[in-house]
Amino acid sequence: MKESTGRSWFFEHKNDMWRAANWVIDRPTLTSTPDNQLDFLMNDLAIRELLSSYTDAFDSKDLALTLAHFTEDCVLVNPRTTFIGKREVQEFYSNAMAGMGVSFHRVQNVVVRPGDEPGEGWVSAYFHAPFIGPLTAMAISQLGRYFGRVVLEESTWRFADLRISVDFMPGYVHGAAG
Amino acid sequence: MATTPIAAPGYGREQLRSLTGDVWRAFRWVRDRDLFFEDGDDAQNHLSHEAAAQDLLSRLFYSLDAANLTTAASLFTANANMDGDHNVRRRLESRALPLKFSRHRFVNTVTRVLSAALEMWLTCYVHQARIHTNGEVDSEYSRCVARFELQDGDWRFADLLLHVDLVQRYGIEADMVAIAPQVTDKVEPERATRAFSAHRSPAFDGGRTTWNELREDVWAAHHWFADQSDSACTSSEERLQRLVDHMLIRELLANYAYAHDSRDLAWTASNFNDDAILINDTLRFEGNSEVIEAFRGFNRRMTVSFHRFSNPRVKFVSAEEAWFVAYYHVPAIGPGGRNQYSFGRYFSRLTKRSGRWQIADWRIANDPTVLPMEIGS
Repeated sequence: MKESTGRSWFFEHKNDMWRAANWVIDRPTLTSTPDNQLDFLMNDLAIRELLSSYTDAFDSKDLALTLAHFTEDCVLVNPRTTFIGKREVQEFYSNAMAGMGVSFHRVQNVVVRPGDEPGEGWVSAYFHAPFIGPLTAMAISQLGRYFGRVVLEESTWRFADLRISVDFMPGYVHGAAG
Repeated sequence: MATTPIAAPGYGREQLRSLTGDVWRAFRWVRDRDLFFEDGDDAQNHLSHEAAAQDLLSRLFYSLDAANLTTAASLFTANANMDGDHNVRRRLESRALPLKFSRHRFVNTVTRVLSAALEMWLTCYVHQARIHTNGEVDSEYSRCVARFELQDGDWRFADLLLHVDLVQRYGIEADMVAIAPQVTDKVEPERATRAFSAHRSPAFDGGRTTWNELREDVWAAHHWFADQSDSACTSSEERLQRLVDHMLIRELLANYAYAHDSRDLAWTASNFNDDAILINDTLRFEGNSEVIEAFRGFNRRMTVSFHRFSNPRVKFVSAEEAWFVAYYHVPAIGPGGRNQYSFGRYFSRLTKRSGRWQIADWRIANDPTVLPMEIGS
């Protein structure tokens, strides 16, 4: 796998999510010319959309649609394992969806910054995801964070590198209200 | 894109003080500051300012949650005020330090740039999930009013009010993690079928007919949504208008929540078209009057509620029509004072009439309702 400068940054920061978030926040935002400002705002929106689109695909258990959010040489780092390349990422999501009941990944506190290269961006976000297991008789909620490098491929933003942390998993009692 | 010019320059702290005795009033006041753009550059700058405000909130909450109070304090002006206290550092410490774990998350923002871009106001909801040092787990829900001032070319918090409305206590961390809570009824997997949407394959510009085709299965609607493309923007002006419309639609959603949670039926009515349709899993309401009656009923089932939206996605059919999907999470106090959470999704068609985006068709998919474990339960 070819190591891009962006990927080097990703590997440098992926093990400390606070550091990664601060690194994203501290990157410059807008350029001074109006045209670039407009480009940035459009890309900012599109990258936020990528996060929502990804969670829609995962929560609705559509494996193909989920994978469409990643580049061929993507790197996905979750709390237990690193998956390299789309085939490994597919295996991860296939297994995850098989054991999953209902989930909702609610993405918040999104920060987007341009990358060093054209067509590259960085994103940091929180998520809150309730999971209701179909078989395991449990209902939990994940509170976690995303740190990712995104690239523009054929007019579509995709994850080139994505780190997912899960920081806390409180439980719920599931049932009808009142 | 222009509506009415801002009439009065220089609102400042006194204005904020006069409003925040009633936080809903402050929310309405911010909403009622009309957006006015002199020209395209002005609109573009407004969008950049709005992005900067949301950035500042993210930075503040990242810093607080990482207990990095120096960074958090650096986001405030020298004479800033937080929760009515000039000692901002003390207020920040009270939010960050006594905790083992903290996650602040904000949603439903409405932003206004005022006073010739010297001042900016923002309203939103904030949820802080916490583990206290004694292991107790809870969630705090607040309404937030923020006022920003420009300092050396950068926006800073000049005033920040986090009005705590609801604290839900769940239990002890060790119990919550170690003991799997019992599911009280069987959860059936959703239909979640791309085949459903592919089979129906309704037209992107099919309006209510398309919405009716898809509303039975909201995950299928999400899949259909993913397969659609926005109408093209060919000029810078159109791209800019698209961004402004995105912002206005996000505001519509925020206003939907504010109106619902403040039990202000007139405000709710203003978010829907005269001929709007609202349906959930079992009920159907047609026309603005019936929709309002529906909300009157919804409101009876919750004494306190916070409709917290996330993952909003918009696809534009034209400059006056758009499809919209989002997730929601509603912490609430239900009948008998019982804490509850609801999760779900919206699938909606929006139209722009007389310059205002409103809801034309609104499908509420009620997903799991969960009852948080409570101390002693």
